[in-house]
Amino acid sequence: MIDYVWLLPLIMAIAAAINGFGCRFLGKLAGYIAAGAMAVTFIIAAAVFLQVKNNAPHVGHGHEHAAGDAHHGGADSHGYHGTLLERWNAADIAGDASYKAAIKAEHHFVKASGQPWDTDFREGLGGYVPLWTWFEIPGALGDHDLKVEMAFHVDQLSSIFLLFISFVGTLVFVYANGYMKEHHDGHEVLDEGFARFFSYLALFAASMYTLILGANFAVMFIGWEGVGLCSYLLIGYYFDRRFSAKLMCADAGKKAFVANRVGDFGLMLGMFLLFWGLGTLDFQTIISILTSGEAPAAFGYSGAIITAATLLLFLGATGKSAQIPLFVWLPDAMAGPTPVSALIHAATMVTAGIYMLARLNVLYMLSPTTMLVVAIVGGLTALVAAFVGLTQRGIKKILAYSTVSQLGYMFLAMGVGAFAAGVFHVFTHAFFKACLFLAAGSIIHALHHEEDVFKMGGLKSKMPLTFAAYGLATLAIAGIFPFAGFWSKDEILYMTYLASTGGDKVYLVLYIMGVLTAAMTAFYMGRSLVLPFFGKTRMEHEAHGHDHHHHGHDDHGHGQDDHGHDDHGHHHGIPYEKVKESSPVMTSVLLTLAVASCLVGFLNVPKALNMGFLPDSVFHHFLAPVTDRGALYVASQQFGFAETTAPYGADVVGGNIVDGVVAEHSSSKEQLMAVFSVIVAALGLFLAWWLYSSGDLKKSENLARKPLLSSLWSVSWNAWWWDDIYDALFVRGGMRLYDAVLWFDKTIIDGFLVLGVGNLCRRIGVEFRRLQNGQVQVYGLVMVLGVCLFLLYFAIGLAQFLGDAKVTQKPQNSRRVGAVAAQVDVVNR
Amino acid sequence: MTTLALIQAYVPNIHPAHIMPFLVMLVGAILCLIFDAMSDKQGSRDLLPWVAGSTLVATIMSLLIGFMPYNRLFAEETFRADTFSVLGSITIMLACLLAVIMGPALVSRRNIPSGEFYTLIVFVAFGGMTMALSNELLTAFIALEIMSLSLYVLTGIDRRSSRASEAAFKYFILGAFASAFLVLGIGFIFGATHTTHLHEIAAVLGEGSVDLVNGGAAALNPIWIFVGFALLFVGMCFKLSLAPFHMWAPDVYEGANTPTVVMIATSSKIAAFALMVHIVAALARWDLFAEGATYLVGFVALVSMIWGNLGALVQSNFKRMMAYSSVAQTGYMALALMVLIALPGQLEGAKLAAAEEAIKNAIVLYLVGYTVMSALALGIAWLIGGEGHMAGYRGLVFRNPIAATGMAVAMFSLVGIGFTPPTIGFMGKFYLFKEAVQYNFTALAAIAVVTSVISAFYYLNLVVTMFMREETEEAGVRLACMREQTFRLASSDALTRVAMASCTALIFLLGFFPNSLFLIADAIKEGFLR
Repeated sequence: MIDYVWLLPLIMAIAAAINGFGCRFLGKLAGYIAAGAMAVTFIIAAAVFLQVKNNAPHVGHGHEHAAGDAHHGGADSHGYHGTLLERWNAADIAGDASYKAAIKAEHHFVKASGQPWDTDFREGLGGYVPLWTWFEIPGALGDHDLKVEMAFHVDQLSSIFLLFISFVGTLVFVYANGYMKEHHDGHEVLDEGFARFFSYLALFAASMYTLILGANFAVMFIGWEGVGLCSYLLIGYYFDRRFSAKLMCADAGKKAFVANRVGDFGLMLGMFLLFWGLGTLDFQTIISILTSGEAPAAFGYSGAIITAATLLLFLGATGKSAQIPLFVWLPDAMAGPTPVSALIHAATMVTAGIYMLARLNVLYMLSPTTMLVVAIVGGLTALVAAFVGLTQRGIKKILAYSTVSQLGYMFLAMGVGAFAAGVFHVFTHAFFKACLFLAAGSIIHALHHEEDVFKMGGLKSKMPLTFAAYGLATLAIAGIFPFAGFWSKDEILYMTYLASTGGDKVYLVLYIMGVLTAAMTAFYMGRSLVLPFFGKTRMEHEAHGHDHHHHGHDDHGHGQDDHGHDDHGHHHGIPYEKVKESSPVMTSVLLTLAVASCLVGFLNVPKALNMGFLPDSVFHHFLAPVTDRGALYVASQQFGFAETTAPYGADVVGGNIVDGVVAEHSSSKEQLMAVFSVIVAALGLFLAWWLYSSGDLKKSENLARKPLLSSLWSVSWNAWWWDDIYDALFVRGGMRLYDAVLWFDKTIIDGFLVLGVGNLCRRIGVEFRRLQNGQVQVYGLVMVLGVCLFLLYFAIGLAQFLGDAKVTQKPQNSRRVGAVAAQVDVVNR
Repeated sequence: MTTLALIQAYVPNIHPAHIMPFLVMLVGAILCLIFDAMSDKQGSRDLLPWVAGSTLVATIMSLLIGFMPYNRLFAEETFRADTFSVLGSITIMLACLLAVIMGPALVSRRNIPSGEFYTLIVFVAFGGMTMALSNELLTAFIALEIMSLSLYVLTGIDRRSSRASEAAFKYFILGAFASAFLVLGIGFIFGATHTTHLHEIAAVLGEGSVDLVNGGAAALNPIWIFVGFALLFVGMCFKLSLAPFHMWAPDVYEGANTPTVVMIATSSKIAAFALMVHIVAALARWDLFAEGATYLVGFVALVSMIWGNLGALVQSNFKRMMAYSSVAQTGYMALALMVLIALPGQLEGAKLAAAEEAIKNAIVLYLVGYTVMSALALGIAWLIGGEGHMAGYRGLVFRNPIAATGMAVAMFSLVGIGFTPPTIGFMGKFYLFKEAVQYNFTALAAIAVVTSVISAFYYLNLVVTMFMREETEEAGVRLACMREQTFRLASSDALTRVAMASCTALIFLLGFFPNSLFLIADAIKEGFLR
């Protein structure tokens, strides 16, 4: 199946084309085509995944018995205590080289069965699928040929991504079939751009597959830009409607596009830098050059170019994955229809940055500086966004900030070297966040596009299925044991904590920030659960009377209001009594995702917490050959762990090695910390319950008026004024620059160059045309002039040449002359 | 005895299979004539395009099957079939096939004698193919005349149109003028080298001396070779509509019927380019040639790029714009021709051969691409009646979105550089300019890019006109498809539409997989029979 992996983007592209061209007459069929195509790709992706899983090297099992005992804690003959890591670090500090050597000897990793860790995934799995050579320019850059192959590759990392993208994608496509139509008086009314919507959505899926499958930067970049384009198109899907007081939906799309352009610029520069230095764009070739030990010094550990390139690539990732400083677009991306927010702006596209970092983990591991930057940016983003989420009122806006925050966690994981843990969070997040968004969509759909949680309440009894799904997903994201979010988030926090044991206090700060974020996450998610579903409703009642004519299907416009007041709210709201649970198409999807959010966490239960009845760290072991390559390479090259074939994979945290084995054996601490984070999450949820469960907002409003809290409240409510700062700095500065450029453009470029040159061209053209007067004599004359010019050219050239020309005589020995002479003879006879 | 020997000496030794494509064409052309002569009703004349079309298809098949020996001289050393000439011949056939497909609508609309029309198209194809394959200058000349005379007649075949007659007259007068230079040039070259076979010219030039009939040998006189080349080049420039020998093109394009314009724009240029490449390859064996001729060809390329693009800038008539555009496009290809000439001065041995191959491939890729793009643009103009003033295209997208989209694809592809990576126009130009840069003609390549940017103005102007302007009400300007409420196409135009769809597909196909063209070339090399 791997060889046919190109079917994934192809099928979706075909579906997109059919929907795009047939948008006039396909009607309801468009949704079925897109969802059907997506389901087919899911089946293919599942087959691909199974094939990868069966072929993948079996890492880990069997090893623990071989090497396990040596790593148990306790003092040894040298007087060092603790785990291997602690002993190693202590010896390092003491400068005890002989002991380090002894550890190395003791730490003689047994090669696990199957492939060694650095097996080329192409050879190991046969996952390289070249399609055709797109470009080939010999000597494009000195000695390097630029050869761009249209090629896909499949390895553990991409197969995981394929699996959850196609799974969540299929569910969202199905859900959208229900979401993009409304019922009026028993009639089904499709959204105006129904087929257009599904065309974009299918095109998105095609691009996302291309991004994940690309075997080199160029192919990945096609997908990268493709998803950006689709994101832009889908955010601005309701292009003629208002999103907030400040923005049209189309503007929100533009904002996303511009923010992403900034990131893409970094990505491209990073790409060029790598090509310039290494002469290839192919991921695997880049990685094997870097790990061959023959790379130029600037590409070595802490090398200048590798640091610059990874930082630039990371800038690209901050754009796509909405991190500081480019996260501002994601909250506004909620202008798009809710299924889009669920699939693109929560579950899949925004994780592209994390995918890229995981894919390039060798490069990142080579640059500790970049790793630190990534960790700090990730940790900060997580905290900052979670803080904003505390006070928002639009349910989708809360979820958007939560997405930014969770993405921050993922980058934190990347930054501390826990690539597999980061990818695992991507994986679990895809399920529970899609579930949350779709459940929010279900509410919004039922309330006729009301998004303000302050105007909801008491929906539990009206929409029990939606409530169940939202509730379970909330428990998952809040990190309550044993839901999915708990496992993945806890892993990240624990790895961050481990990083700090290396002595670098930055990581301790990051760890504390992570815990704080977890508490806030639990609070705001609890708030977003309690406010709509519990307590007395704050919606209108039927007794108030309202005009039926005003909630037609054209009332999407006011969707989310920045200032929390709604000009038309009174006319548009649906009375509480009329609220109905969404259609089975939608709720079945919700429940599927909710069940998944409960269960997927068990795929990666660390040894310390599995209590002996689950296979430990399955997910990590599966990914280790890809995601731990960088760590193992650096471990072996920089920290003397030669011969390392660490079967568990390793994570280098903050420049310190935490071998997989070591990490898994310090169990008591990990257990303690898990309990701690569950308590923190539970406290957050409880606080939300305490504040909001009555359905009366007085309590929270009073609290927000307290002196310190009120200022904090306004920081959070205004999202740190981040948008305003950008507005003042870049947008308005940009406008001023724009004015200057406009002036320059109008007077210099347009006035002088374009009109000047254009006019000159035109005038010459007119002269040519004057020559073209239709008289054949003139044409002949021009030709003769041309001939004269030709002859003159040779006359001048030959005048110089003739001086040097030498007459040479050659002996007559040509066959041809003989033949001609013979012929002449024949004629003469 | 002596008479027999004499006869034997003059009976050419030709394997019939080797000249199968020629025979197929001749039989087809004669069949056309016979069919026309024997049919007295219009109904049976309607079958004529099918006879002509199947002749062309059969020729393509016979070329693909590979009756001709690959890259070896055959038929008394008169012909040589290499990748360039066979791919070129197939493209010539396809362009003529398009003219045949477009024919019935023309014949019925303008009441044109159909027998002559289709026969002459087959003869255009015959002349073009012979020219592309020939290894001998006189054969090439005669082939060129067969093609040209057919085109002159086709240009003026609509006798009721004074514009067509005027165009035919101009084309003929100037063509005859150019042919005179051409044949004079051949004469000079023969005088200097004592042969008209290209491989022998190459041998003579390689040795540096020419053997005389009386047994002696004389040094080559470079003057006569250069003068000969210059005059020959003048004749070829005329065919290729390279400046300053292109003056006929706008008038002829405007006056001639569109099926003929398709052939003038594509078939005749492909044939001339194939011959030119062969001549240049032979002459380049002479170490002085690169020195002498590089800048001559470069000059012509430069003038063509500038004149063509600036000329097109101020046109308001679609076909005149296409005429100037073709001047510019052949200018780009002449750039590669110049590199081909200059190459022996820079490389040697196997490297030289590989580089020459690469340049020839670049030229043939662009030739095919240019054919497809021009055919698409002209064909759509033909379908919608948009061969006149370009103001008529205003708001076309609202009336006929498919035609507007197809035309936009053609225009974007014709612009090539910078806008449309996955089209053949981009790929073709990319490879042409790349060759120029690679062999240190950076300045000329830069000018080529700049003129391409200028060309974006008039090509995209048409796109803007189609997509962003309100329909015009001016009666004389409005397109036929807008004038009538329901513009009914002739039934034969359905095939034209299929052809246009294929052209659009080809533009993208070759844009994504430029190498697929050379897969075909490889197939030809292998041949189906060989």
